[in-house]
Amino acid sequence: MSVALPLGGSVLLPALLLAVTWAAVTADAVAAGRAAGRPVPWTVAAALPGREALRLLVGQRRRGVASDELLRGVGGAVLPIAALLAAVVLPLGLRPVADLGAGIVWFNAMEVFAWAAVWLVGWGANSTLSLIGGYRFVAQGLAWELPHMFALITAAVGAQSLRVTDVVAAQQGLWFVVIMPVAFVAFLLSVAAMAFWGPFGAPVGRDIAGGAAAELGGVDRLVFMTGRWLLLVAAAAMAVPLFLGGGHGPWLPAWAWVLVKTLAVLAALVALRHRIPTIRMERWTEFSLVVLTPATIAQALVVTLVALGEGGLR
Amino acid sequence: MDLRNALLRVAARRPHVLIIGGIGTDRLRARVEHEVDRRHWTNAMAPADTDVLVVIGHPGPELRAVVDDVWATVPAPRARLDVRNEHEVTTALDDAVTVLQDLPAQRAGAPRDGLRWDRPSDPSGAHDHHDAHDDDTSHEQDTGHEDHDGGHHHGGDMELPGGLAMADLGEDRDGLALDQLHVPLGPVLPEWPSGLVVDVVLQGDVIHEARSRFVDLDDLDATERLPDAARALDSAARVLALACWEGPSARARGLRDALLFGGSSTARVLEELDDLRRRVRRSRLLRWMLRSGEAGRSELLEALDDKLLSARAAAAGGGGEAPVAIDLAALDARLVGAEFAAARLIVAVADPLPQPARTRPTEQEGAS
Amino acid sequence: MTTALFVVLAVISVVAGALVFRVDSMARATFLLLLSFLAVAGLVLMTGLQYLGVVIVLMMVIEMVVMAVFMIMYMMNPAGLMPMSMFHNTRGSAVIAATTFVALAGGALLVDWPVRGGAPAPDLTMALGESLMSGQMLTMMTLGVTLFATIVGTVVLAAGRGRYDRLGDELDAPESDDRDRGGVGR
Repeated sequence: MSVALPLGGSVLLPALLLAVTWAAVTADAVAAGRAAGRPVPWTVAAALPGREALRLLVGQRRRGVASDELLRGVGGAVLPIAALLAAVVLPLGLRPVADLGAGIVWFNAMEVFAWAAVWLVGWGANSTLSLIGGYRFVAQGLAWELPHMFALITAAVGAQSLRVTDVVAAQQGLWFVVIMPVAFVAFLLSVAAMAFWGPFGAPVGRDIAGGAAAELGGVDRLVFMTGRWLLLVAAAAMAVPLFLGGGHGPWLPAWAWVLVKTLAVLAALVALRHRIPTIRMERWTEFSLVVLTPATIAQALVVTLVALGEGGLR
Repeated sequence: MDLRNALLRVAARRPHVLIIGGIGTDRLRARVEHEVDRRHWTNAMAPADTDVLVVIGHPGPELRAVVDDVWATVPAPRARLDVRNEHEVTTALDDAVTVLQDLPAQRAGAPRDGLRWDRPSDPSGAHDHHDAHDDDTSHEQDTGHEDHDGGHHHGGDMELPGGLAMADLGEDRDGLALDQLHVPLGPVLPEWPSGLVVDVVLQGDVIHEARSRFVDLDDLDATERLPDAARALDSAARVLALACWEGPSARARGLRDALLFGGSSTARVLEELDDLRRRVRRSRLLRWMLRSGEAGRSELLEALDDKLLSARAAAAGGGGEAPVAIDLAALDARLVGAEFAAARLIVAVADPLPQPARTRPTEQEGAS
Repeated sequence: MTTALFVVLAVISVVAGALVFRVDSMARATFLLLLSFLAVAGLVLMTGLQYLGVVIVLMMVIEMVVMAVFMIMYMMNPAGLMPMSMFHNTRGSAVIAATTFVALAGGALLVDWPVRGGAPAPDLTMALGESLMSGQMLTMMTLGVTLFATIVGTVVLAAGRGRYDRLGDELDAPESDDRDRGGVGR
């Protein structure tokens, strides 16, 4: 049984996440430039996250008449904290910062805080468009949460453990993506959805002038946007231990494999994002509940039968 | 101090720009957008996200009031520019950077008592003008729409902390008694026709009543219009941007700029236009998104395709048919019962030309 | 350390729970209740029941957000513009609350708690699963199906338009006349 990383890991984790986030934002800017037919040079794109962060840091904060500053502040702060807490069960290499026995459920519980966070930010700003954004996220959340949970459960059933390191250990031979492709796809979709990003960006959409974030200025905006990217990165990184064999792989050390695979998942998400428009709530909700949920249940059933056939429950 | 200066300088390198203009400023807006894109700057979504506020053309009194309200909510460091003609664009944007980097000026100019935005509708900011009407009757001669304010149901609204209006209650489209909120949409919203304001009654995010009008219609006759091809592309770019398909939207915008300001040959523009149209037609996800009505038909998608097609015809030099002008009453009727995202798309597709609003507000169009 | 943590969580859960009735905004009330539940989840985690504790967090966050939406649903008054009283039937509920509190607290203090025999299982999550799903399998399954049936029944009763309204008595209409279309089918 593997153990948790030493305490140093908990300092390393935010730094690592931020570094990967930086890379993801850069890649996103480059991909956006290419999609727009107006290429952004790599150097410009690489400086972009820092520059935007600085811009928001020196920016003034805003408060609104009769807005609920407390709830808005709490909501904004919860987003990055939830992302970090979700990431503590991520094996960096083969060992996570905290190797929780119910790690998968923990991950799920932490990312669900995004529901509360986005809704609170949308509500607290006292602005109609913000509130519409907040409500959109809850509607979206109700749609992705079930397929997402079933995808997580499928991986847990495959490994017969809720411990993330056990799931990684179970994939020494065969990656779970091979035996549970439906769960993998559902998971990737919900990764983008929980970070209200890309095709699921309606809660902060352009049609509602930035939605939940419409009234955020200065450091409030920085925290919210950083939290959103961190959530995306943490969730995308979770796909690696759950479905892509974690740190297993030839030649490279485990941590390198985790990094490479995480970047690959993010690259796939970024590339996909610029090929497709945003999905509207009413379309996604029905699809998610009528198609995706049954599909993931069927996937879980198949994997369960396979697990039983291979010698039953340990 | 030096550190602050340095930070400010780096931060000002890539500002977010919010462009506000009344009717007839489409060409100037295109010019500013083109320049913003060329510099790899960003178009801001809302006042909160704005560093540089660019006021284009000669805003009338109503729009000027809106601009002042919006400006009051833009966080420092910030710069406000007035751009009256195309020659000023480049220098104005250069100046904006200088202003953004000027620490003493920013300190002096920052809104002191904290930034306050005020009504639920904020990113548009148009509502404040209603207040101006209520408080200050001297304003009333300047526009031709007092009847709206008078006829609007502010009566019975309860006064709340901060002078905000309580929502009132009414039946929604499913017959449930729900809160109604009176919100003006525009004239400051991303991807929104210049100078348009739609006063809507919202229930949740469903539009219960709508009444559109253009602000500052005084010099309607002098209004400059974009050439048909550019106008169609501009409108198509808005639709695509509202579908959050940024790449094709930016391409449509780039083609618009190429038609307006030159930069690539007509043959190349046509080729790229065909390419764009093929991509739009082939995207199943876009079809799925925009689908409405019967048998997978999508009025929105067809309208979008028509726009691209007419842009092509006009750009190729063929006469092309003149754009069908939708009147505001028809737009209002379409908006009633639409969910917010759908409503934004409907407005973008309709892209109404500046025209006087209906004289008699018809009540209860939502009851049908 | 453990005691301090216990006291902190216990105080948070009680104080946040009490504050639910002192604030005048539905959103704040809802999220104070959530805070109270989260503190309780922390207490459960302290007993070593990791799975149960984390599941409480998961369920309560979702539940409270959904509850907030339902409470405020269709009331597009962001940020609780209208301060409102959170009280209904003040006297009755005070009596019920006091009685319940006295009964529970009295029970907790007065009952002669047995001394623990045996040791906790090495994997409490596994033990929990086995105790729920071996001996109580039928109970849990019945419970699950009943709950699900309740959800479906409630939705059917609440829906203004069912499929027969949308697709005709024979369900053979090629298209429904819905105003907003979903993502699948008719």
